[in-house]
Amino acid sequence: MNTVILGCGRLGARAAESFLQRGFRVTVVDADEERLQALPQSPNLRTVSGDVVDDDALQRAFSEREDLCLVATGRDPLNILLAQKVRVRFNVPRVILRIFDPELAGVYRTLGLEVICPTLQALAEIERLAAPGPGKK
Amino acid sequence: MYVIVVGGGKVGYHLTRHLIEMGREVVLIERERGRVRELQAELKESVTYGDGTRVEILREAGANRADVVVAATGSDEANMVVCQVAKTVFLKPRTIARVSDPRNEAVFGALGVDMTVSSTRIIDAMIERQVGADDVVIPLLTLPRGDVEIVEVRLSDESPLVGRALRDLPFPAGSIVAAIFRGGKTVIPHGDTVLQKEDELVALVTSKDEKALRKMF
Repeated sequence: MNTVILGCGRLGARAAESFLQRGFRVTVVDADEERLQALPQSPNLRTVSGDVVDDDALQRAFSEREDLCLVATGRDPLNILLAQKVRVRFNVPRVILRIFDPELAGVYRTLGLEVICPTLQALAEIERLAAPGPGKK
Repeated sequence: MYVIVVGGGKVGYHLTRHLIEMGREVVLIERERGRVRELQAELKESVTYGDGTRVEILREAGANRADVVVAATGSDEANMVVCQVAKTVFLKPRTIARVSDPRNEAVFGALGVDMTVSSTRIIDAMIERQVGADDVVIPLLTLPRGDVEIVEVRLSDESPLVGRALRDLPFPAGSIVAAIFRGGKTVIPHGDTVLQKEDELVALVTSKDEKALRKMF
């Protein structure tokens, strides 16, 4: 499986590690070289140092046929633009993106994107913990 | 007609002021408090505070009854989100987005933004016109889906096209001259219309044939 990760923050870096452990080929794009260098060494890892806003960086990242792209920069609107750009321009069959804003996450789910919303997931977890369950008082 | 403008920078501010002067109902959404106060000093209750990429802010601004939503922030991605949210959540207003990176124009068109305005490309063309004596094609608007543009050409005194009829000129197949501005009047052109110097041609052209059209001038 060939994968591209846009944004090497906390989520992007951990996803890269997880993908590598599963034996995927991983390309990570970020403007911050230090973050890229902190990734685990692997023959299956390729890093592209460049701004994801820049078309040249994207072109280098998507030079081969890719099966999956994870869009995980820190900004919702940027993730939304990138995810759609990747889908339209580079024909990647699966694009997963992170959106913090629950309402925007809902909008883009209805538009057919694969959205992860950490806020909603945290909320669900909080509700589960707060709910009175068996064995709790 | 009700217009929502998102982004109170120079573009958003002047547009809002102009729309108010034209007697339109308009609300400008700006997300920086300091800028909101500046704008309110002049534009009063037409300015509202909030992040226009958020659904509830657009809803509070009355996006459900908006006829047009203009995304005029300096950020391409914010403008795209504004337009898509407006189209998806609300009652399908016309959406117009300002685009700074010209390479984003095609993507916007493919993603449901009705029209894009690229100041980068317009200014670039204007600079070209200042620098060279040649006729320069200025992009005015990109139509829905991003594959047809409206462009403007002003013929210079030395233009080889002056004195010739439209039907004799090698316009590419994917283009048509829609109007000619001549001495303060608008001429609807036909094949036998003869071009004069200082004519301003407005043409529709597919993105595929834009290069070929440019080469004519």
